[in-house]
Amino acid sequence: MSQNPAPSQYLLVDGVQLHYRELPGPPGAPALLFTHGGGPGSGAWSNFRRNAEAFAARYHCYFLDLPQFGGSDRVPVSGPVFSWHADKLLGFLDGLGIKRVHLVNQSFGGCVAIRFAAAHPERVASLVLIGSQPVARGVMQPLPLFSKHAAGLIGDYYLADGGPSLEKMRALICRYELHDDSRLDEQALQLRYADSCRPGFVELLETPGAFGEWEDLAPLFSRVRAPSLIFWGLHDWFGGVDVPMLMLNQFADARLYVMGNAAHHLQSECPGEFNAATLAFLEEHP
Amino acid sequence: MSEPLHYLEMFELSLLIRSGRLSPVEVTEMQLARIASLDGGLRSYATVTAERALEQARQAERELARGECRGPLHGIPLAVKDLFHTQGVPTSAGMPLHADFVPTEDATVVARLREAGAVLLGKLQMTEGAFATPHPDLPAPNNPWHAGHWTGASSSGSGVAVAAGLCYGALGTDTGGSIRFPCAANGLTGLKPTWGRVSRHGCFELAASLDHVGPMARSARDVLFLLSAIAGHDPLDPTSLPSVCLEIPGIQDSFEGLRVGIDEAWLSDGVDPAIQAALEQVMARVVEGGGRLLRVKVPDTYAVSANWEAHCGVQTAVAHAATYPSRAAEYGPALSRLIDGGRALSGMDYQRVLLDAQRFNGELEALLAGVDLLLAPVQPFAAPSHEQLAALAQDAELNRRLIQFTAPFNVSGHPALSLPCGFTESGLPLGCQFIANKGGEAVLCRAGMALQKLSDWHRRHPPGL
Repeated sequence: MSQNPAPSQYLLVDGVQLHYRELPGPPGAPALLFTHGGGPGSGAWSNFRRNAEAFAARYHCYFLDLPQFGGSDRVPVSGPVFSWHADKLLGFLDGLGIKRVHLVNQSFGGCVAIRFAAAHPERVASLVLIGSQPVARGVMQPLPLFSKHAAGLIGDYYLADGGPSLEKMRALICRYELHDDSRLDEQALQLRYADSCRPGFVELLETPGAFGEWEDLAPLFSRVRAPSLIFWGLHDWFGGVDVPMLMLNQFADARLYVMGNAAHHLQSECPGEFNAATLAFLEEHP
Repeated sequence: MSEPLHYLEMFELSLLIRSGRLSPVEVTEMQLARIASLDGGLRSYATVTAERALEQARQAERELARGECRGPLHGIPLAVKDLFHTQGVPTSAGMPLHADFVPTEDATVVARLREAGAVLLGKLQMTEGAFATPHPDLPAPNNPWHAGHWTGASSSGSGVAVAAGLCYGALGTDTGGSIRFPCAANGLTGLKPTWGRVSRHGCFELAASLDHVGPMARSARDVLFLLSAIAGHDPLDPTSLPSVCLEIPGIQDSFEGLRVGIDEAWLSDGVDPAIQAALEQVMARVVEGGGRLLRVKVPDTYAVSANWEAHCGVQTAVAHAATYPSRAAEYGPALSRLIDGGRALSGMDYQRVLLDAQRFNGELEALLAGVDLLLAPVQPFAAPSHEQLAALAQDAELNRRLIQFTAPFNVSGHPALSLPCGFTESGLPLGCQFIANKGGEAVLCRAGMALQKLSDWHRRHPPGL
């Protein structure tokens, strides 16, 4: 019954309160978990609300906000960032008794999922990645993510010009995440803005090392055994198509789907195409 | 968690069950033991289906062990008012005349709870036919806060069982206030959804256009979980609304950005001072939580509350045509009087009732275009005793006043959430309600969660239980 509300739920993992929502789908449906990108105000529901209904028709869907995001606690990360988050993901699955799961992930969440899949292959039924960049550099060029143009992205949103505002969030999403501004999801915008106003994030920005250490996952790629579907938007501001090629070339069982008229949040820009392609892939890899 | 196991909220219990720290069978056995030891005095259950409940709990345990989770209600013990059809289990709607009726299928809402993996402990007592008072031959439930006080009607057993920790949540129905009154009387949270949001298929009818099926629980969050399981279009009930995504707007447990309409004249019209003081506490929490109070003028509710018995009576007469007047001797006095009144009303007078209803609905829609929520008491009288209630039943004007804050929204079909908002000096619970525009269940639950984040009225329980 995906048409019904997905209430907020919370689970305590290693002392961190994690916020999630759940759409149970048909009885006995396989578990599928959505994680989200790393931009300001991100959360699993706002990233995937346009996909929720289609997926919940067949899967038991969980929408997990990673620590520091959405409705989850704003706590500092210590050590390698993706490993730290992957440990919390493990605690979440254990806490809810989820033995095996399909992981559908936007950007930052995809990096966490890759780290998790490399460490716990028996828990991952399949892996879907959208615009994830788990590497230090591309094949032919540096990642724009690490350029001076992106350096102030989060700090400017939270600290400059009086801090968060709806219009700043709108500009940020259009500039960095979408190819076609007219496809902006107004409700997701409202949710992103509301979540960016929750207390605690500015304190993290002001705490040295609160986001952990960047982790280059390239050395672990060959350990990713789960069937994988990698999405890339041709107009992704954060990196070129050489980045997913690195994964395609080293994952045990991967395929790459490039959308010509989309950017970083292609599942929100082109939900029909994303849903159809992903559900067909999942059907083939139960 | 400082609460005893039987008073945990569903989402807290769900985490214990899903992580394997608690077995659905253990929880069900604990609930059945509590029912066995306490319900002789409380009389909230009409039927306890212990064997079936244990079998459902064992099934939930097996499924969870295989990693097949059905969601947050999986393995949670619940119960339903005795007017929802339950396959193979007697369903008498508080009427001795139906004592032998055993349905061959489940009501849609019961089937949906089963699909969600809930454990059904049994059927809950209610007033005769879901009207005002119990049938004289049947025992009435006792209020767990104080036996001398009203339990609320008509979902009285649902209110008592949830408040006393004899189930974690229940389904009720509300035709003039029958979910909201027992919630107020027992310190619970309950939702009368938009008319049509929840299927009425397999639900014993009191008045088709006024009947609303909804959840009763110990928190707004639990109400939302139950609503998620039961709401949505049902082909078997053609009057059920098309399914929509009831997304929770904004941050879930905050009043931030919400406009709450306050009509001071309406809120003080014959309302006991204890309730007025409690409403002021709620207003303070709204402001504290970032909401805004806006002065509004609520459309006149006099006609729709004064007309309610006629409005209901005509429809009840139709619903009971197969057994009334042919078996009138088996009816109690209150329900007989309601049906007789309905049968005596002329078509022209009924049309006048409908015109008043349409006028009220239109005026309310216009008001709710400018605010997100309206605040109201559930009833103007604070925790009435049985004697006060008996007096009310004999006096048409007092009875109109009793339902003046609830029945208008049955007539218009707007959703309303009943919430605990304080206590009388003698420690009996008081209730308030938020009303929203049609389809506004999500914003209602959000407001309820926001209020319950800033207060602990919903976390108090009957003394000694």
